[in-house]
Amino acid sequence: MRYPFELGLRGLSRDLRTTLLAVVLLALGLAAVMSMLTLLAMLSGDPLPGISGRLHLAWVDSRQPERSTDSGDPDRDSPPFLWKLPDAEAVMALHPQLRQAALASTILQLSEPAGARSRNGRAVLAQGPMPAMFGVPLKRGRFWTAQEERDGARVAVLSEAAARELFDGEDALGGEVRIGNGLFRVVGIGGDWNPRPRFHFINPGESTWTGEGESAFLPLRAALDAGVPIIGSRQCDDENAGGFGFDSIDLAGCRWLALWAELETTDERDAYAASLAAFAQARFEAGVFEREPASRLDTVSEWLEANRVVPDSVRLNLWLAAGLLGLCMVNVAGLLAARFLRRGGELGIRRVLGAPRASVIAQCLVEAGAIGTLGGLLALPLTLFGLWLIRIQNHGYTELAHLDGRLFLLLLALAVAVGVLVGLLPAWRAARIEPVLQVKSL
Amino acid sequence: MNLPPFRPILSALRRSPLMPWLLAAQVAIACAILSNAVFLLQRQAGPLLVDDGIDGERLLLVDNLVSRNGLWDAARIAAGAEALRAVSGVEAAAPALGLPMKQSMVFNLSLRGPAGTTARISGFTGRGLRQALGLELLRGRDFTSEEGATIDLAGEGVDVPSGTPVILTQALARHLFPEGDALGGRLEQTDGDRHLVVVGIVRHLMRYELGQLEDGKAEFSLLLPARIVSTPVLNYALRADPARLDEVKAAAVAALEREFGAMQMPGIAPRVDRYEDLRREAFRPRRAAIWLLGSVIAVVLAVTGIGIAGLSGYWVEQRLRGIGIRRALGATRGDVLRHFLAENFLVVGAGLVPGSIMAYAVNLWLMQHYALPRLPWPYLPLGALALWALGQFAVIGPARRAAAVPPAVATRSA
Repeated sequence: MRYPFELGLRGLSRDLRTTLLAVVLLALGLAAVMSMLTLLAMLSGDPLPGISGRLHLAWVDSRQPERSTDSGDPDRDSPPFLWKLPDAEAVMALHPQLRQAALASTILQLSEPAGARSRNGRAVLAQGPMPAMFGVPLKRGRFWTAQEERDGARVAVLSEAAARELFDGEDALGGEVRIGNGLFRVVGIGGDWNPRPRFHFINPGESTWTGEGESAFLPLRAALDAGVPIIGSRQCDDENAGGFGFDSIDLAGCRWLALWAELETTDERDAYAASLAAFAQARFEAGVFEREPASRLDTVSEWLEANRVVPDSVRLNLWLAAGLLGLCMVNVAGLLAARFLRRGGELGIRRVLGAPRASVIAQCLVEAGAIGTLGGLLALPLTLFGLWLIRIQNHGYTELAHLDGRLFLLLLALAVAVGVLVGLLPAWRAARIEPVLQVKSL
Repeated sequence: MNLPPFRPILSALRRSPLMPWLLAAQVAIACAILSNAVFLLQRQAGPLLVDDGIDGERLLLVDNLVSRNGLWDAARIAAGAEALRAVSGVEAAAPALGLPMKQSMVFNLSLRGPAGTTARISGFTGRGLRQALGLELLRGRDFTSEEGATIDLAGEGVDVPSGTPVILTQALARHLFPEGDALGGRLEQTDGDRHLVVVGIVRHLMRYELGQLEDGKAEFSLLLPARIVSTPVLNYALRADPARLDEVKAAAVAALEREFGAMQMPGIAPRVDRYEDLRREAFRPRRAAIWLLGSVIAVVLAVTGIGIAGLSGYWVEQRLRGIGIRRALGATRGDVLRHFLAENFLVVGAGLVPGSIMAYAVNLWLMQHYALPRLPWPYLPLGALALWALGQFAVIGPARRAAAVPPAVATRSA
């Protein structure tokens, strides 16, 4: 097998113009596909590896019947997920053995009690052990306890950055911060927690890829009690048009929470889904829910999919790139066929001298595979260039576009496979050359 | 000029099918990619070419004024407008619900025209908004000061009583009143029995739902006369001296801070932006997509052209002897040239048939998965023409070389 291998490699240096053209064409197609594939892989990554697999978003339809009056709700095209607090609490009470959290993410102002320093940032208000469920890294201190939550204790977990800024380098643990019109005691300092995409609370119309992480985590009841304004997605029943104001929230009339449950096994999952359906049914029969009973239990990936968190245009561009690669492949197949058939005479002589067809095919495939590999190597800088172009677009998500080792190996494998695939037809054609005819014309 | 006979070309194609097959396959793939890529490009580029109707050089937009106490009341809204008008360099200031390139506060109306056509329309409202945006009133009249609805987001929300006058864009007027004059026409709300009366037409005004600019809906906008009496988020449109825009912008931020100060929701800073900056930012993804699609189209054309030229060149080389014989038998150089051009025409045509089918199949698939509309039919004949032209252009070199073959070649043994 060594001889056809050598011949194949030696074939590369002949007719350098077409070799080069073939390499460049393949590199172009491969680089296009790899740039788009990298971007897609980065965007489809797991926002919280090891944790998000257990998390499920629950929803029951508590909305009022659809009106023909169109209030121009900007959220109307996004999948519904919001809960009223009493409903969420009722469902959570059905499963005391599970970890569940009803949460909302809002913009708020944290300030030092005297008001000397303040910081604007995002915070999660949660009922339930949200920081533990969502893997918020705890640097020091602790999260709030169930007892504190029941008592409405004003405690808070701050992010490291927020603690540093508010306490000016002094120890934040045990200190107090003013949020809304209440003073919260800092019981824990969390590390950086900023899942990309921000799946835990998707505000429709807001980018899920940009923005800073959460600066604080607060127990929900205590936060409401302290008059913390909730500036996030909300949807209120008709009689509560005052729900437009952000200062207060009508707990009975407005939906504003996301309910997450930690479910390990499919049995747990099925049981939870069934209890959601039963809850919706019971509420509907009691006349509380006005629409046909509906409920949903989504995994994180299903929820991201439903929200089209990965922009359509990225997938579309991948298909476009794949088409371009296909075109380049056909083109190179033609170039290779021309190369091989031009050498019909010498291939004929090899055959006459006793080389089997398989050996001729092997020779041609080695040459094609080598061209593919070279194309792959040239595609690497082109891909990096493409990713750089994507990054400077700055659509919010594009900064994630980086090539990693795994994808580089994929690129090389793809390159060799493409080379061999492209060589198949021309190699088969070259092996069918009638040796006698070729030799006669010499 | 006499056309070359097609029979010998066809039989030559049949005898050695590999090269023409590869060529046709390339054309087919190129056709499928090109027609869809050009279609996508046209959809992306369309809204950039729509005139937004706004005097952008003079416009500043105020946003993110959120009340700490839930809602701003009428007195506050008016006081804010006064404070902004007092800024040196400001020519007009209008409170607004619905601002171009902004979606912090939006409202939509679904209306039906007398011909039965309906539209979901972006509403713009606020006293003096037309002047502040610099919209050109083409026909009809402006609103009078006693006309109008009230916008009370503490109460009923947007309440538009029957008979409220509206001003449409020209494009929307054509859509809702396909025959006859829009001025004075009645528009029914698709729900309920209320109606609106058209009193004026502005030349252009682009809607603010930037996701719905395609399919001719870019200018589905109307102006309503309304007094905003309560809203949680205040927006203003400012018209200012274009030479002093930056200075006015800084002064406006300071004026807002003085006027609203501690009444604002802590944690949210008000924004004053130049309209041109907002527009550039809003359309950046589109411009990026246009660059991307444009380069794909260019690369596809180049690759196809190179492919056709390369394969045809090789194929001519293979048939030098045959060409020499034909020349020796009396074929002129022109005959040989025309033979190759015609051959290329046939092969490209053979690729275009499956190519068009593939283009439609790809489009159907895109329609299912990405909610794109159907590929308009003119794309296919235009794409075919382009590829035929490309093929002829790419084959000219090899064909000229073939025509230059002297008859004597035939007499030499290969």
